[in-house]
Amino acid sequence: MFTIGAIIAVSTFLILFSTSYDLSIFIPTQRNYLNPYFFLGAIHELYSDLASILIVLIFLISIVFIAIISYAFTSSQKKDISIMKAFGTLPGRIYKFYLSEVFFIFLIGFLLGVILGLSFYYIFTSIMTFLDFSITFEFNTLLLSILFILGCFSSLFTSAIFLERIGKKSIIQTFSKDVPYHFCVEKLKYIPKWLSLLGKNVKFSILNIKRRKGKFKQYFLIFLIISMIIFTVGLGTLVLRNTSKTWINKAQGEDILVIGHKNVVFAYAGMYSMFSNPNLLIHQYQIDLTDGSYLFNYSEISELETIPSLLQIDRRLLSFCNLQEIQGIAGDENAEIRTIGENRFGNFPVMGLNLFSLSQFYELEGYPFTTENANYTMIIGDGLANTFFEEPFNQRLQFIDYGVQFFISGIFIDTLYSGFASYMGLSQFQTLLEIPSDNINLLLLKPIPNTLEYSISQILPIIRNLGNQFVCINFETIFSENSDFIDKLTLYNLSVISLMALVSLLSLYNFQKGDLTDKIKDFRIMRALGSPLKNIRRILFFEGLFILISATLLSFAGGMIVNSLFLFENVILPPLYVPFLLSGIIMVFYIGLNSLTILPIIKKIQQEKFNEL
Amino acid sequence: MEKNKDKLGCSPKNKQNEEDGENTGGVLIKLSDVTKDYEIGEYIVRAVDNVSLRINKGQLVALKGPSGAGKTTLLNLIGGLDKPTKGRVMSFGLNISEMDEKSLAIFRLVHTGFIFQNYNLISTLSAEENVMFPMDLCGHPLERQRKVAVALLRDVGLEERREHLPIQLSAGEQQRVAIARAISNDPPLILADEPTANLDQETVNLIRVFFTRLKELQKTIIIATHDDLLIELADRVITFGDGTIVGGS
Repeated sequence: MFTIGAIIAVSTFLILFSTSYDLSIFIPTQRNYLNPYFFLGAIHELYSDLASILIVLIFLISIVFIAIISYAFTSSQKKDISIMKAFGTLPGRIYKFYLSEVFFIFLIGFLLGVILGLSFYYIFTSIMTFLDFSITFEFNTLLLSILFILGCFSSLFTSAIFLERIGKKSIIQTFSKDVPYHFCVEKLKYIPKWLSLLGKNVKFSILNIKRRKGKFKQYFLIFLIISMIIFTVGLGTLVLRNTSKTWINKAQGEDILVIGHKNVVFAYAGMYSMFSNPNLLIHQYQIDLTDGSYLFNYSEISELETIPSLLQIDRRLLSFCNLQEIQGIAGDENAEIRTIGENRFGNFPVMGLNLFSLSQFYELEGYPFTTENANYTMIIGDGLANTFFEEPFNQRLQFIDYGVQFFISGIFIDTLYSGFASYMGLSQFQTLLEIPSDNINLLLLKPIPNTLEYSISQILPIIRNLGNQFVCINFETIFSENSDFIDKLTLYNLSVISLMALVSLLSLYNFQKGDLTDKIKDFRIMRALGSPLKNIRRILFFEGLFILISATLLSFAGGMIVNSLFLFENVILPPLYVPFLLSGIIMVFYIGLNSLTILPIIKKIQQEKFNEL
Repeated sequence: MEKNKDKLGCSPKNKQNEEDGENTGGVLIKLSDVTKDYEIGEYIVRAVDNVSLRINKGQLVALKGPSGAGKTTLLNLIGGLDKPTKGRVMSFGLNISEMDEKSLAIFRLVHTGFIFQNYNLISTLSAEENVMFPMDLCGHPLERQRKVAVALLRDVGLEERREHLPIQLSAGEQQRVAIARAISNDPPLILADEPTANLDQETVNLIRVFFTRLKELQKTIIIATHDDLLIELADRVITFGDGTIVGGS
């Protein structure tokens, strides 16, 4: 009951933890943020996929644990069941009696676990909030209900299987010898004669595993899932961190200097901060970005082109516009035509830019617009693509106030306005807004690396021409906030890995200790016959090792499949050695854990007295 | 492997050296004022009370007495399975009451063969592997282990059942395997705790024959038993009562 409670507590904690950033597709979004666009773009999609895989694996490990515990519990009642059968109790009554018992044990364990899990999570969120992490405390009824149903089914099903097995045996068979339910008495066919040459301890551990293969299978399954969680989350985290950081760095650039009216520059900075700040929203009613006082004529500062340390001078025009998603038509595999889109509308920032002089190198899905098609083609951000459109490449975007529609040729992954901005040709945007062709409200400059100080010193005298309301700001600090946010997400996954590592430590100890009840007499006999304690230590070590190595290798394969099916499609893959290295680290960690868990076991064996022989 | 074997002192040559060189006057085992107390909760139970005893090489000694008299504890002390609370146990010229765990393990492996009342076969090993186990610990070559094990199992009438696990054998068969295991390493000292208790007549007869043969081989044998026919085989009978020697030759 307490073990079930502990499993449910860990599962509850992990499930609630997964809701922290609305990271799972299984969890209905309950966004109460001031900023409705906070972290809703492509990066969120990837992290959401990983969290969803994680939740599936958590469910899986809970079910397996509960099944093993229930089976072991029912099988420990074997003798009583045999007595009941001997006295003529009807099978239906035996089922009813033991399944009710298993159910109540599960129910109490579950309630205990949920209370424990919720309490731990509450304490955890309080600590994290105190440390300035934005984690919410939510009670997720849906997921906990699913966990209850799955756990209950797994518990009753495995117990019923045991009852059915024992029901098929004759009463005499169930009474005789009292062979442990997991003990293999058949002749071992695949134990080669030369096994002894590997050493008696290796041989003995292999024999132990073969004889107690039921137990071996149980723990193999547990460690397989634990390793798969660690491997999948570990590799997923590395891949996602690498991918999202690369995307963000490409979109934001390094040492980017922004020139503009201070109000526009601050609004622009805020639009970037919206990616990682749920309580910040820049909207059209706060600032009219195309107000005459915010616009400036580039020719007034064209002297900037004479500064040798500037790599790129990137003219921009930023404005809020009323946009509408226009329905499109798409054909599916059966050549059936269907209408897509819901004609959603909203007010979002649109950026006019020149793709040939970009200071930032966005990750682009699709194609850029060209000089030829810039009049009717534009690019949208990943946030818009994921939530405003259904199939953006088959739809169009309309500027409501101007009645103009644009095809979408590509999607930028950008943190600006959390991916809810759009991008079009600068001159086309100027024409649309009826702004003279030289007028812009932002100028982005990219200096040669390590020339930032020098560049600023050269720029400042030039922009004085624009007036004292115009500033030149280094966006590094604003950009690094978004980068730090990704690190926090990584921290979230690392916490999951740490918790799973703790679970694996306890499971391994439980395996060695639980199995010891069966083995302790054998070890006592071995010691009585003159076997040194180090032999027993090695036998235990090898038994654990065989489980861990096989589980790690299989989890490597499983984790790679899961990752490639659900995550790898759109990400930047790490070098090939990374998954191998990760698997190696997990294996080394397990070997260390294995050695560690043996210590108290050996101490227990050492305290055993021979007079019980 | 040979190096390991020498290190453990499993070779007959080493055993002989110890027996002949370090024991004077043919005394193989010497207990001096040995007391053994067990703590059971708040109580202290005295299992062996101030016993002094000498056993010569090649003797078959029968320990008799009622249950709880301390016979098994005495066997455990002689065989290095337990340490006395007070007093000294000298065996093969070695003070085994002062030995550490590692040395005791080697002592048991090299010098003694145990036959337990509850057979105590290793559950995951077959009959043959159980017999091979002490030889394996000594580092004997695998072929030799197999050859000896098969021969011993043939002697106890279990050659056909050598691949069976302990749980697939009857009580009598398990005890026969245990006897084969006890002598597989050719130990100079055999310790048997109620070896015929609760067994069928056929096995009891076989065990008696075995002990007769071991006696002929000049093995030192100490048996804790109630079996009159086994007691008849003994050179010396010691009667135990309340943890102390109350009679005997």
